[in-house]
Amino acid sequence: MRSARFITTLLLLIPLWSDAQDHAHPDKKPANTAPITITINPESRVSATVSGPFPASVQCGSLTNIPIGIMNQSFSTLRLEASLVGDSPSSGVTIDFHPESLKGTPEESLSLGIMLSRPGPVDITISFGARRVAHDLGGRDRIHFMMRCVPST
Amino acid sequence: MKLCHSTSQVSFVLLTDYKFGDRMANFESGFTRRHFLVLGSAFASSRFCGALEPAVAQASPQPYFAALNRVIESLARLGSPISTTDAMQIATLAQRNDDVAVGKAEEILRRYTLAQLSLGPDGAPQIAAGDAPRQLVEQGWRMFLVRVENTRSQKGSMVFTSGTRTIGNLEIVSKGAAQRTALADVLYKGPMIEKMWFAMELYEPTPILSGGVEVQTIPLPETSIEYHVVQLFSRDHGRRTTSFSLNVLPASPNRSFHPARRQFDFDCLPSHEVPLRILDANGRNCFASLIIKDKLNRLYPPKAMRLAPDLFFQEQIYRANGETIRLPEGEYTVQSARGPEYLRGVQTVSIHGNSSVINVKLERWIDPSKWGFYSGDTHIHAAGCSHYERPTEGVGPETLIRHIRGEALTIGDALNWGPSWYYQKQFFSGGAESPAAMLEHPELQKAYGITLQPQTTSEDTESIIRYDVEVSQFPSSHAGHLVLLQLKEQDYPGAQLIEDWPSWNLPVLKWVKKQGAYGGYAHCGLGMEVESTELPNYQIPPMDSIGTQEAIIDVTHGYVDFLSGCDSLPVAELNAWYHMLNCGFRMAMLGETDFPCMSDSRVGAGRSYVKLADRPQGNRGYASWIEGLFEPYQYCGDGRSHILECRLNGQPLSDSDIELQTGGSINLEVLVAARLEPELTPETRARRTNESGYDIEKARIDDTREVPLELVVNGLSAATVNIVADGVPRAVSLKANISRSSWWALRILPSLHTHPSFVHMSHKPIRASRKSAEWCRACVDKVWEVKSPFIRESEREEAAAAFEHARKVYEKIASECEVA
Repeated sequence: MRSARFITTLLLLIPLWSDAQDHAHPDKKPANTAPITITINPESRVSATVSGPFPASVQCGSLTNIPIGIMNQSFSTLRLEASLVGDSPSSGVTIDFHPESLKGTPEESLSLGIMLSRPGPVDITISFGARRVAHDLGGRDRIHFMMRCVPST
Repeated sequence: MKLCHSTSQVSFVLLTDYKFGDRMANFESGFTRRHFLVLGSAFASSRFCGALEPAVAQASPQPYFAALNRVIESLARLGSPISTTDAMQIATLAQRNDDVAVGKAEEILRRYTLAQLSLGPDGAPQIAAGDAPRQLVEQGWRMFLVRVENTRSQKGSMVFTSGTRTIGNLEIVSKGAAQRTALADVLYKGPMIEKMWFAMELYEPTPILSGGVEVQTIPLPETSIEYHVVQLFSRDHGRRTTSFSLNVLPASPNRSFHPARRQFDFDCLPSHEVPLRILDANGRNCFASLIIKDKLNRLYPPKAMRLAPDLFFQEQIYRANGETIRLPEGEYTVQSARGPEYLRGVQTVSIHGNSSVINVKLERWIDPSKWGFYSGDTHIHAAGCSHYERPTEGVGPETLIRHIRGEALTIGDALNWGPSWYYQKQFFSGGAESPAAMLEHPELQKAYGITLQPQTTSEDTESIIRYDVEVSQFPSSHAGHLVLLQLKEQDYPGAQLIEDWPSWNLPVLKWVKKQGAYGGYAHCGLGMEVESTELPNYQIPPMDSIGTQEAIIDVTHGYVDFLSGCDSLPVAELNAWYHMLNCGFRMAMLGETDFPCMSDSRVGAGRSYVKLADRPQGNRGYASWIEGLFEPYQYCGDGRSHILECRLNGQPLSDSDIELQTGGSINLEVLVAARLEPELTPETRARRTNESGYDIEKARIDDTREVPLELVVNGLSAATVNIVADGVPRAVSLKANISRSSWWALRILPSLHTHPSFVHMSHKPIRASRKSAEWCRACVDKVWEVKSPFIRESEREEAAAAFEHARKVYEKIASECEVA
């Protein structure tokens, strides 16, 4: 009876442990199909990839939320940041990304707000990182994709 | 206007591009190729042109320039940048960001464009020639642009390939070959191999599955014009011809087209095995770091297809005296160096014929070994981060030792860690070694046509490599990454897998101490960043990363030998160290690179110098060097400043603490040498802007050639002397009053920090600052708040007790402090 109680307790604890410690799977692919996947490697380097389709077109002047899948291999509880790369005012792109600090769990989800103000196609490059933490090497901290907006009727 | 001109040219090319063998066979009336060309040209430039020409490319400026900038960055990354003038012009045009700017950029890019790929009015693929000189180099790679035009916004992909087969696809035969003997069936393949003079790779293609086979494609651009980088390899020299084919894979196939084909002639420059004569400043032969560029700023060997020991993410290669580099004829700039103790040599060399030689005579600005100092980098990885993504890949000790020698490091610690653990741990031997810098996979080199024959040098034994461990991507990594040095065993007791290791660090450090090894915290500034740039400061860090975090707890248990830095924010690295020293704890600060993770520029970017009677050799020498890390003469930094001698109150520094009975002063006589570049350049100014890591450029006082040498007492600057950083060793004096038990150190921030020395007054322990103790006490709570959720439930009780112990220790220390 006592051993059964012990095993039951152990079984109840396993999910807690696996949540926190299920981290050593660098090759594990994101389960989601979010357009953007951010990976924080064991050295807390932040890299990003395009992992799914972006909306074909959005409404100009409206904030569109793009889902982001996070693969956290370092238990990092950093607060992620995003910035437009090589952006000129003429692109009319603004982003909104002020997430809470990461929970440190192997996978979590965030979203990136993008607002396009000028109709037509726009090529967007976004760099992801964390404040005062060196970005990933070899340009792997950034993604680029095309979006376009249509004027609101 | 320019776009119209461009279109006419395209029309002309398309007309001339018809296969005369096929199409002209229908013209059997004496209509010659010349007639066709003349008529075609006239027709193309006539007023009817507009009716027949393909749609004019109207690239939207913003997407056009955004994509173009990435391509220009890619060319630079591959070591084949466009000219500075052209890059500046395109940057200006990108700012202008209108149709005229697009047209002008198109003019510039034509000179770099090998081929223009497009779809005809009916969607059929078309190849036209670009204006780039079709020049390749024997046994080398050249980069070109291909221009992709999709004026009708068709969806799908292009497959751009060369018609020349390579060994890899030797056996592939066409699907329609079943009725006749296929080439691959021949017994003797020599004639086929002879034709395999050429290889082509798209840079960063998009792989898709087509017919169950992975195909490297160029997605049809959403905007009308896009450029891509193509890399071409020539095995031979002389005039050679190959054909390219272009296929289109529409997103919704309702019609199929034959691939477009076009022949291109190339002029392949001959290259030569150029011997290297590399001599150290003392006249002995050695390794050196070399960056070789031609007049167009192209790098040799190109980064694109480097095999170890040459790494694709570095500009430099490491070569020993007597080894070779393959170069085509021409003029080159050769930069030579061997770590921060050497001056960078720059020379122009001409390669003509087989008699050319590159002579490199290295020149030092300082040789710390003359004062008994030997350098080491205790955090190098052979795999992971910038190396390769797969855990079984990376480089072996044969390659890593070449890099260690090429940066004149005496010691290099290659740390096995999570992403490469199960493969790289085979190299752990529990001993220090100095292997020959052989090729780790000579068969790959041979297959690639590389003829490098590794050579040994007179100075090979001066560098040692030892494999140890970084606890990174292990269950306890959340609490800060541990660097474990001089291990006898690399597997935690009972652990079969990484997942079996403890989920917090103290048990690991206890195991390390038990085997007589050393443990400390890597990239200690991570997670310790605060708003303040003061040293010391009292803001509580977020503890949200993988630096000093649990060290603040573990040090109260006596298990932290060092913090390791010089590769993150200096204030974040030093603040916690200062506070813990102020509490009376002792630990070293080591210099590390965390190559190629925190930095992939070179090993030894962060390093420690240890004073020894003799140059360390073998296991005994390595052990002496490690012990020296905890001696007062040790200093860490970027290797561009050095404390060569130091006397305290007229006496050499001692391992023993200084005892003072009453208040007094410490008088230091220091021989210091530092070297800044003579003048600020764009390169040195750029180095100043990088906040992370040590670099003497960030210590430069305004635009002078001076840096401040500070005497730090209990974390506060007590005296400063500005020194001229011209590389000449200078004797300076610094003095500070001591009123209680204290620690002191010297620093040129952020270039050098010495190990702390300790002064005791009336035999009292160091209790330098109550605020420091209170800061540490508050940090214990913060670390627990952030990190305890990641500690296994089964270990949490023990961890909680250890944290509680730390709280009590800091509270007691705070109560013992006389000074707030």
